[in-house]
Formats: sequence, C-alpha cells, structure tokens
Amino acid sequence: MFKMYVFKGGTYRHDEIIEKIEDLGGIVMQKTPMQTEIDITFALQAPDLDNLKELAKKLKGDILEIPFGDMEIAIVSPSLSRHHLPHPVCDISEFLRRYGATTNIVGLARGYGKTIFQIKDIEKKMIEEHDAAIFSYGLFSDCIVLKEKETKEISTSYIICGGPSKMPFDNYIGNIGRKGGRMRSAAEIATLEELKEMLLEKIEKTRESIEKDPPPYAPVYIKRALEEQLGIKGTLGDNPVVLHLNGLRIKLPYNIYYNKICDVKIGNVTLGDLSRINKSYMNDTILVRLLSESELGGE
Amino acid sequence: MNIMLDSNPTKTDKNTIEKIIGYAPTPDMPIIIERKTTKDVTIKNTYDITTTKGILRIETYNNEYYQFFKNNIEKFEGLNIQWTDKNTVNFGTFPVNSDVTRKQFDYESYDVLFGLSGFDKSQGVIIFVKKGYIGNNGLEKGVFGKVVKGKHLLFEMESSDKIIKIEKRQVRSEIFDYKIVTSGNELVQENDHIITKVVVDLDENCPYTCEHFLFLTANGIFEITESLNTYCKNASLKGVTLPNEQTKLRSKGSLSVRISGKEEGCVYIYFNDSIEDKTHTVFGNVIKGLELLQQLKPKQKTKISSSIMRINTLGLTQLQAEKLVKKSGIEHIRVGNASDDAIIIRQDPELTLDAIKKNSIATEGVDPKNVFKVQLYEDVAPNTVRYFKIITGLKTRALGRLSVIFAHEEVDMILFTGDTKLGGDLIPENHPTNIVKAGDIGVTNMASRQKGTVGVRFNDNDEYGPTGEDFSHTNIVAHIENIGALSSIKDNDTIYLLLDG
Amino acid sequence: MEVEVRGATPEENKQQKKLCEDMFKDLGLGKKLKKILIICDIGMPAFYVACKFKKDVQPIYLKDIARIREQATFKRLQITEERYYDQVISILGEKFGNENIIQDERNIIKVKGSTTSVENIKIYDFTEEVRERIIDALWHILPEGFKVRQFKHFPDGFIVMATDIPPIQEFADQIESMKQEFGGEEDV
Repeated sequence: MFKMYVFKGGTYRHDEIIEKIEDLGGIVMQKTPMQTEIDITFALQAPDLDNLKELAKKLKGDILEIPFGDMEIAIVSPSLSRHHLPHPVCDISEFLRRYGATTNIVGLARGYGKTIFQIKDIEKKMIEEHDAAIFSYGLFSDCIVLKEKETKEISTSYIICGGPSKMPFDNYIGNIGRKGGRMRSAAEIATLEELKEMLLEKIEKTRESIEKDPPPYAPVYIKRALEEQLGIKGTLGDNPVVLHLNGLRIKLPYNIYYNKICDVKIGNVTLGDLSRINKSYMNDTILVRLLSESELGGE
Repeated sequence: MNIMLDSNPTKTDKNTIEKIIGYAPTPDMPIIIERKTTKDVTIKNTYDITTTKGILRIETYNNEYYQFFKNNIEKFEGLNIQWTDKNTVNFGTFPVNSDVTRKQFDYESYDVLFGLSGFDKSQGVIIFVKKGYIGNNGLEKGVFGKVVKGKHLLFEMESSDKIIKIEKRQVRSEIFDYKIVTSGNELVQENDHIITKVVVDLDENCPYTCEHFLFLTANGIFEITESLNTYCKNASLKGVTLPNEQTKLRSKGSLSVRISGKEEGCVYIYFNDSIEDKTHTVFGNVIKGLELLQQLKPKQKTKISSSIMRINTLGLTQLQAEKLVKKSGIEHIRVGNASDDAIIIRQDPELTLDAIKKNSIATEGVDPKNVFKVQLYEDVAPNTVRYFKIITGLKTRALGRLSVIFAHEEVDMILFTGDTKLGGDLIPENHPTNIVKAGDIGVTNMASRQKGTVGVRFNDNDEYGPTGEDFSHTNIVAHIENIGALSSIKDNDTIYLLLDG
Repeated sequence: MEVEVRGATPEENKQQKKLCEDMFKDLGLGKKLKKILIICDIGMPAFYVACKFKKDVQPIYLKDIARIREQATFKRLQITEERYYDQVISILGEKFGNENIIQDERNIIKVKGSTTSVENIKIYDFTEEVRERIIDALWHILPEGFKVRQFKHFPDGFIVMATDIPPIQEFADQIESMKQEFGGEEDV
C-alpha cells in the first residue's frame, strides 16, 4: 500500500532522489523549492524505503513519514465565532497539517449552547465526506455528554476534544477546551501529540480494513492520471486534487468537468467504470469514491 | 533421482552440481537450488459465505461463539433472511442453547454475531451489522467475526435472499528455500530445482531498447550493479540515450531501461509489481530464472539469454556477415563493395528486431583500406576515451565513424567533428609533454573554446597538438597505426574505426 | 485581580478560571479589577458573573490636571497633562459656550464669564472605558448562545447573568445572594 513521505534536503543532487523514487515505482507528488533547500513529497510502497533513506542521508537530507498525507480531515467547530476560533480549532488544524493532512474547518450553524445544540443533516453529510473528523467542544462535561450523543451518529472516524481530562466514552482527548491563546506550552503540545497518536491509531484500523478489500488502483495513481490527462497540474492556487483514503476530491466545477473525469483512462478502463462520481456537499467540488475489488465483481 | 534443471524435469544418477550441470559455479557467478517446503496455511479462520447476492468474506475471532459457528455450519447453510432493518441483516432461524438476556451492547459496523428473534431460544439468528448501534439481541454480546469483503452486499439484501454455502478459506502455500551454490561439489537432493541461468522474452515493439539490451548481453552474461527488494540493475551502459518506446506497468519479471536522468541507459529487472513511469521503457520479461536474480548481490553475474540473437554485422567482412545472418535464418543481401573481405560499415535495417520482422538484411561493404584500426588509451585517458566512444558510436557498436571537417593536402593534420557540449566535461588528462607522434588522435579539452574537436597528425610535432592547440589543451586518446593511408581523405569524408584487438 | 469560579467540577472550574484570567489580562483590565466571581450552573444552564472594581479607578477632575488662577474677569487654567487638552476644551466649551473659551498658548486656557467653580468638573471617567472592555471580556467568557437576562450596576462593580432558557425566580435569588457576598450598595 502506498504511504506518504517527504524528503527534506538541499537542491544539489536532489534529482537523484527523484530518479530513485521513480525507479522504485513511487510517485512524486510535489516539489517545494526554497532557495537552496527543497521539500519533495512522494508516495512509495514499503520494500526499499531504507535504501532511499540511505541515499538521503548521503546527500545530508532526511526522509520523514507524513502519516496523514493522503487524507482529508474535518475539524468541526461549534460555530465560527470568537468563542471557538482561532483557538484551539486553528491550533489543531495547523498541528495536523504538519503531518501532511489536508484540513477543512467546518463551522456548525447551531453547535453552541446546551439545550439548543444540533448537527444538521447536511452538515453531517459534509463531515462524512472526510476521512476523519475532530470535534472541538467546550469546557463542561455535562454539555459534552449531551453533544456526544448526537456526534455518535457520524459514520466516519471521529475524535472529540474537550476541557475535562476524562469522559465516560472513547474517542476523547481532554485538556483541549476553550483556550484564550495559542497552544504553545510544553503540556499543550503534548496534548496535541496525544491527539495525533489517537488519530493515527484510528486511521491505521481504517487502512487495514481497506487493505483487505482494496480498489484495483490506489488513489495516488488515479491522482497522477487525472493531473496528466486533464492538464490541471501546476495551476496556481490550491491543490486541485485532494487525496482520500479510498478516493479523491477534485476541486473543479461538477457540471463542466463530470464527463471529462468519467472518461479519464486508467489501464484498460475509464475512471467512470472504477468509481462512483458525485457532486460534493461542500462548495462546488467533485467526490470520487473508488470501488473495492469485491464491489467491482472481482474475487 | 528426479530433479528439475532450469524448469525442465530431468532424471539423473549423479549427485553433485558439477557433475550434473557440467561446470563448477563460482562466487562470482553462482547458481541456486530451490527446495520446496509445502505448508497448508489456513488464513486466520476466514470463511466465505455465499449468498444469493454474492460472497461475504468474514474473519473470525477465537471465542465460544466462533466454536458454535464452526461446529454447526451445515445448520446455517440454506437459512433465509428473517428481516432487515436500518442497522442489521438477520438470517435464521435455528435453536440456540445460551441464556436469554435483555442487556444492551454496543455493536460496531460489520460485526457478525448471534442473536434471538423475539427473545425465543428456538429462534436463533445470525446477524450482520450494517451500521454500528447500541441495542439488545437477546443474547450476550455474541460477536464472533467481522465482514472484510462484500460489505456493500449487506445494503442490497432483500427478504428473498438466503445463505447458499459456507466454506472455510484454505490456501495451500508453497514456501521455497533458496540455496546459493558457489562451488561444484554441492550435493543435490531428490526433487531439487537447479536454476543456472536467466531466460528472457523481448517485446518486438521496442527495437531500439532491445538492441541496447542485446548489446549489453552480447557475451551471454548479466552483471548486477545494484540489488534491492524491488529490482536489480545493471549500469554498464549508463549514459546512453534511448527513445521512449513503451510505457507499461513494470510487473514482476519485467525488463526495463531508464530513458532519462542521470541513470539513463541502465537496465532494470523488477521483482515486484511497480506502476508504470514515463522514465522507463518496458521491453521484455523474464520467463525463467527470476529467483536466481533475486538471490544475487552486486558484482555477481549470471548467464542470460533470449530467443533472439543479435544481428550486428558492422566491422565484419561480408563473408563473416553472411555466416552470422544465416544463423538467424533471414535473407542476406550484399550491397556496396560485395567482395568477401569488404568491411561492413552499414546494415539496413539497423536494428536486429527490425531485420527479423522484415526477414532480410542488407549489408554495405567498403574497401578494407578505408577502415582503420585504433588503439584506445583506456588506462591513461579514461574520461576522454568515454567521450570518444560516445561521439564515434563505439560505445554501442563494433564500428565507429568520424566525419572530417578539415583536410587539405598542404596541411599536416586532419580535423574531425566533435561535440562541444559533451566536450565541456573533458578535464585535461594524458596531454603530450614534449612531442606529439604521428597517428596519435587528440581531443581538445575544456581549457579551450574549441573543446571536443578531434584531430590527428601525419608527422611528429613538438609545438602543437593534433588539433592545432597547445599541448596543455589537448588530451591524447588513441592511436592509428597506418596513418599514411589517411592521406587521400578530403573534407566531408567519413572514416571508419575498428577497435584493435 | 482575584478570579474565583464555582459551580462545576473542580477541574472545569480551574480551566474556566484560566480562560477568564487570560481574557481580562489581554484586555488590560488586570490592574483595574479587584475581584471577579463566576458561578457556572451547568444543570440549568445559567452563568453569573460578578465584578468589583479597585477603589483607585476614579474619574479625573479638572483640579487633578490643571493649575487654576482666578483673575478679575476670567479664570486662567494651566493644563499639566497634555493628553487631556482636547477633552478640557470640548467639555468647558459645552458648559460655558465655545466663544468664552480662549486658548492663549498650547497649555493655557482662559475661561471667560464664569462665576461657578470649575475645579470639580469631570474631565475623564475611566470607568466608562473599563465598562466597555468588560463587556468585550464577558462576551468571551459567557458561552455562545446564552442571552443576558439581568445586568445590575453598582458604583464599584456589576453583576451579570446569562442563560439558555427563559428567566425564572431562581435567577433573581442567586443574584441577590451574590450581591450580599460582594457587599454592593443599591443599583445605580
């Protein structure tokens, strides 16, 4: 299975790293040159990672794993007001982005209060489009318990963050309640690390279950084919094709691009044969959900 | 005893490697013996449940409910759907011996468990959970498995569906041990598979790349430069540029050549499926002996062959060419100087695969006196020799050529075309000290603007080099013996070079 | 500044206290407030916040910032604090008429035709600004979606109460008990 990594090193002889990745059957996702340094994000299947790491060491660089590099995570805030933004929601988002995640902040319309709290159906659908969701609730355990009952309905993996250090349910990280300032003390960073570890555990489980019945082509491979055939690589602005664990989100208008995306060639078939392509509930983007081997009628 | 030799069943009464294959392997060029140890491997108690809508594969946990499941499989085959709801699909019914309870439990999506219909012990059901929920099913939390494949089928089930068959998944896995043999007196056992060589199949859609490979393996040997889990690689022809003839999935056993970048020209053999890449041309695959390649380390070699024999007649005489072409069974046509001892300077088609497809080849000969033997100074001017081989074509062919850009009967030297760009890499080496001899071929190095130019003098000279430059701006790369024979050469002529020895 | 939080579990009280302290300090109110009491009644739900200012948050009078000399027909004021020039001129102008206020030099102001004393004219009341900043802080502290149902002013502080639900008698009782505890006088 493809995993995401980033090479951090100098621009001198970085082409050797790129050649090695291509030889090993990996895919170079992005190159970010900064004067004399360069970051190369790539996807690779495990067997010869050590050899690549040795080469990186020889060139005085480093290869780090970015475990969330092929995921989109929703950070759900009870509202978009001063009570909840920017701290801690933006702190969580920024922290996870360092590990490669693409994050979206979803602000609920009626996520505050105790008696009036609700998650609308369309908000639920939006959150379920992501690979994981982090809910940032407040300080009081009575409120969080009530809110958790409704949050349970979400079918995607989720973690609830709140003030009290312990709560009577799983998927909970404490000591991230309402914050007055940026989370930068050692204890706060440790809490964020704990959040990242819990998320990693959940995602590993999801990855394992996908691995048992995988789609015939990995999302990373489909992304490369899309970018080559639709000519959308290298556009200014944000990354138009975002990876999910078993699909992709394409940030292009549905009405204009739907047919072109269906016709993209993958091997001997088209993308339309291998996936379900729908309009997303978020902005005007296109969701591609790759069908597993058993769904395609395979063994 | 019965053994296998390179995938061919063989009977033998000998017992050592050397006696069986006729020669002794060495540490440089080893062989391997493959021994089978078959094991019946059950995959984690996985079952395939065939239903009218398709197959559900479940992985089971080791608990008392699984034991009940395992011991009563025949009872569950043929069960109909009792009911489906938002969260579950229920097949039944059958009698159950456990205690009834009204306790609620937390079930996860795709759990497989036992429950009761209407809290009645005679109405047991198998429940597949579509979506996690908290509820009671009449029994203690009897989860014994999880659906891993076919999850989508649960959402398609209707009241008319039923379980047809339940089978345990069993995979007979063959595990092999590989023994590397580096000496001739290794003993052989019954049913051993001795693998001594690699046999490949070439794709006729890639004539240039196949020619490159055939040149590399002209002596029947493949040497390993780098060996990883994903591939092994040979870098002897690094630096040769080839066109991109075919981008294809690099499946296990594929042969490919890198066509761009620093490592262009290297040949790769893949041990795992790898996705295709525009920087590699896939031109064939290994049909025998991949296991041998996987065991080799850098600097070790192996015998390698393909069904196609390289047809390269450049530098041979017409007569030698005729004998060579005859072996391939295709038609041979002599053009130009057709006498037996004329030296071949061109063949049409140039590439072996094209000639085989066309089923004929024409060889153009010239008078041997237009072909000159050269001696390359590989030891003292390796960098310049590398350059010289590339610009003359001697890197990949037995016959090289140089184009004359300047020759005049009153001037003591001849100048040939070089490559200014590649010449930029020519660091000064082996430059003449006191005198330049007649017949010494020199190349202008990076110190001068005319870098890359090739030249040769008819007479000794103690002031300037063979290209008219200072001694320090000249690298001496080779020597032509019969320099006098070049005196009739004019501007725009081509001379042909054969390596001496 | 002393902050006390009651009503929820000890851990939650502690976290709410930290949040409030951060809020007030960020808004520069740390030195102006003497004591803050917050009661979080989660069950209801209702929030009560009581604030008491420090005694030295007093308004600034003209006698504090000017040397006043009585002349025959006018009063001569020498202003000692530069930042209040504008306020002095505008407040005196409102009171006595703009034509009677003459600014001879930058810090010398003549007030014509006034018979009343000017020493106790209030030039600047910091309490107003403090109140504004406190409102800002309260907005942060009180949970979103809670509506303020009661706001009682006192000369040296206030009590505010916000809730998710319609008002009931219990709220008034709680406010009364907080008033007793803080020793506040009657509403202003």
